[in-house]
Amino acid sequence: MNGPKFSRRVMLGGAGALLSLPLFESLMGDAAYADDSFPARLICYYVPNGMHMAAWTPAQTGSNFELSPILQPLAPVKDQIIVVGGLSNTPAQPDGPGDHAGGTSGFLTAAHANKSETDIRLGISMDQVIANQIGDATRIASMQIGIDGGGNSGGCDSGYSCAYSRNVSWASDTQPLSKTTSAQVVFNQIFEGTDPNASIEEQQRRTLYRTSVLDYVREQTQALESKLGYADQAKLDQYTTGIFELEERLGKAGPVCGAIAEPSDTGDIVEKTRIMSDLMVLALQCDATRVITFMLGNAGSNRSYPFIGASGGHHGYSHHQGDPANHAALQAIDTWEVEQLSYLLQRMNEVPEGTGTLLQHSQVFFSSEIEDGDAHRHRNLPIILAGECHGAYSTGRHIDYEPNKSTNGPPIANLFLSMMASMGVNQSSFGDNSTGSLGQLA
Amino acid sequence: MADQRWRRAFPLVVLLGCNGAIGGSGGPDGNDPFSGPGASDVGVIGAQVMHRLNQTEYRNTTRDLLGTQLDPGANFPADDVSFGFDNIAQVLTVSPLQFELYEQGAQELADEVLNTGIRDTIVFCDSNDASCRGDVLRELASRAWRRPATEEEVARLQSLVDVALTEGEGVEQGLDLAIRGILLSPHFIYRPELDDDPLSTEPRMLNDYELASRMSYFLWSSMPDETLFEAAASGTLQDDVGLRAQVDRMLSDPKSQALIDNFAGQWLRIRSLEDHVPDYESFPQWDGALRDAMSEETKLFFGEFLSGTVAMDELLLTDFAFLNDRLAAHYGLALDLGSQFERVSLDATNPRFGLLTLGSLLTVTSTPIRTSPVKRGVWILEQLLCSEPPPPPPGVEGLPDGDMSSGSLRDRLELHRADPVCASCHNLMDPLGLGLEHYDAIGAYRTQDDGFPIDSSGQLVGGETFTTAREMAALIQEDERFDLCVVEKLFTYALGRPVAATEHPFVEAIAEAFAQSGSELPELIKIIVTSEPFRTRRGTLEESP
Repeated sequence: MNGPKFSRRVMLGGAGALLSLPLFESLMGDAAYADDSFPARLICYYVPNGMHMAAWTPAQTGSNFELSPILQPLAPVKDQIIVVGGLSNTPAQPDGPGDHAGGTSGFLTAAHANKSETDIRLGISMDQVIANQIGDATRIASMQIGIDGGGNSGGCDSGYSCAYSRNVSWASDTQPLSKTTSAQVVFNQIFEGTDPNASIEEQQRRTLYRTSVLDYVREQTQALESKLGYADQAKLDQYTTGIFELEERLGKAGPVCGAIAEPSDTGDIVEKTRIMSDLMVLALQCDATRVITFMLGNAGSNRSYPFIGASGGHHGYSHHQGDPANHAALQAIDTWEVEQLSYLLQRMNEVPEGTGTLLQHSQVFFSSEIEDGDAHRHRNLPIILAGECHGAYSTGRHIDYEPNKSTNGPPIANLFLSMMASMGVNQSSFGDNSTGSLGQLA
Repeated sequence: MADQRWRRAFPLVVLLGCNGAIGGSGGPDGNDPFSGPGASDVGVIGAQVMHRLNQTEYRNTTRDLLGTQLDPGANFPADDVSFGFDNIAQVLTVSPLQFELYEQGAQELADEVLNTGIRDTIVFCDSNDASCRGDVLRELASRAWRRPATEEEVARLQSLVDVALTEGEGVEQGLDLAIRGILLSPHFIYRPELDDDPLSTEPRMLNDYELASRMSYFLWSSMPDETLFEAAASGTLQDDVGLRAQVDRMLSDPKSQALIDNFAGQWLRIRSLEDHVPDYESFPQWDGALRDAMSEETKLFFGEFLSGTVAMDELLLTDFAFLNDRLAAHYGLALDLGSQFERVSLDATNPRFGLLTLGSLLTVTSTPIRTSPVKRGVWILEQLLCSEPPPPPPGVEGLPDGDMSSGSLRDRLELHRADPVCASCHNLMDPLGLGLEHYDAIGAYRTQDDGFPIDSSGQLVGGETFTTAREMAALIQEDERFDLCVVEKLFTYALGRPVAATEHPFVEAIAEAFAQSGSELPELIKIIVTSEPFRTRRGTLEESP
């Protein structure tokens, strides 16, 4: 048989084990040791169902704050985080019920979702504004990763399409960017096109072939588009974008950040979350991408966490009705979520980059679609902003932007403006209600 | 529409929160340009958006096209769901990641085709001969794109073969590129229905191949087979007799199992069983074998309706069940059964009597640690009567999961109905769910709830009373909204889009024909397939119809 016999996948090392490795030393030349030669990077980290705020909010503000019970796992990186309180996301308020869908769709868009099962309209998310500007520098403009694909059947939230509940990255007001929940897919994205066993000529020929096929598909897509009505043209535009992005990627060299084994997919959330965290660190470390969004669950997730004593559903607990038993279960789940964040931050902090670390050159935004799960509030959102992002932020603080918890504090869109600016993306407005970048962060 | 049918067991009542909000499913499509007054008298079919193959359809189509077991789609991002189904065209988008996975999938599938025994079934002549390659590519592209490929298209595919030949590589590598091209073409990934005038919003009859695809994706979640392609080519799909004959043939094919997995699985929400994890401490007897048994029971049960053996007007009241030893023991039925499932006749006193007593359904409508009469009630309203009540206002939702000591669940649910704000909706939901309280959170029969005797009696808002779940099931089965709801759900699934506001006359006519025909599911499928909305299409000028 003379057919193609190469494996696309990089299969090195032992199966299953994921090894971390120092790599920037070999990746970057000597001149690269200056910190400012390392790019700024972003992770947006979503957790569902809000937080048990009584055990979340630190008692003190400023730099002399003590970690609250839920935030305890962040002790090893306490000096690298800002606990942000008091920000509101009023555009995320749904029309009638649907707070989980509204809050999740507004999570990074600060935009109001059109309540519909079919007419999906929202706004571009801030990670995508950033990716549009800096995505060209890396092979992958941005990555969307998550743990849960979606319930196998059933509706999502009160007349809102599931698109609003399962995606936080939006390329435009009509295009959600679906996330992958497969560690294998993430791995292949990072290392795609890299095959140490192939000669340069061989690799070039593979690229030529792929480009030829993509050229053909683009021709076909254009020919088809010319025969379609507006609605179908808009659908096919998404396909054209996919072709374009992949073509761009083929023109860029793959990462040379060493060998790790391809991870296997697991249904165990603890194991899966750890693998995904490792892969996110790897993607940033290898400079495969600089923008990642991550969903630890989908909107209103009713996952149970029997391994930490929370056997009921998360969403069920979040409607706690003031019951101490529900509060305890929520606190256990919330603490577990923060532990996952802490693991990620610590891993990022272990990656040396010049005189600093990956974490110091990055910003990690961690929050939920609502504040309290019972009240479904869209103000005083629970937020951790981690990493100095090249000195853009003075970390190790708790800032409360609106001490009056019955008042809507500054719009979260303002924080997004500041976060975009920290990545070198300067805009004067964002989302439905920004009023200018957020103070006090530097 | 639902309001007109709001009678018999659930007569129209004016209620606080639930007034007018009933009938949410398949509601009016606000952007429809034809939704003006008067249009509903005759009916105007809804606008169709180009359909993308969903994950299941991609898997089945590559299986049937190539004969492969490979499933590159297993790692695709989850398809977004609207109206409870994952085949709704408007929300089947393509992200760059999805496209990238399509490209990888095309490579994997092409490798598989050319490097395994599949090769000779696809490359059926001497591929060193250019005209043979043309034949191979014409055949494969025509099947993959579900309509005859043009000579121009075949020539362009040949040029992909030439890319490899120019590089000094063999014909096989060239075929590999052409096969990748076929599988990554938008004609494969989408199901375009082309209008002569793309800007026309006039309804038009589908051509034979478009209709064949609509049928095969409805009945099989896959591409047409050779016989259906031949029927399309010979024009026999343009009359009712030909269409009906094809439906009969297709339903007798094992591929029609897709209707159970994908339509019933999502309509009845039993697909959720895969993800549902009852609390181990509360239900130590739960395990994979029990879950599989429930899943199998449900498939066999629905199969009886799909085959037409039992009419849909018996869905909630059957005199049979499919059981094996494990499930019978779980249900507390003293039957002498082996591990294989058997169809067992049940008398009118048996606590198992149809859809509402399936273990799968009772389990997925419970929380991990207890039953949820509210969830069960909402499920009945939403899935069987298409009358979803609105969710509760903020701050009043939910019942504490932990503490069960303050009385039976029924007692605690009475709180809902003591508060008039809650009562308006909970008077609809709670009695339905409480009627099923004899079945615990994994569907086992019980007489007590945490030491409190169970009272499954209730009164519906229309005043009808029942003392047992069986009596309640009879009331639901007789509700006029039931037939219409079955039609609405199947119509939505069949078309991959919601019922448009202007389309209700069609749906009502289908429901009437269905009821008059004897309420057998295969007949309903035929009525839908031969209906105007299924056989015609209408484009739209809106970007998002």
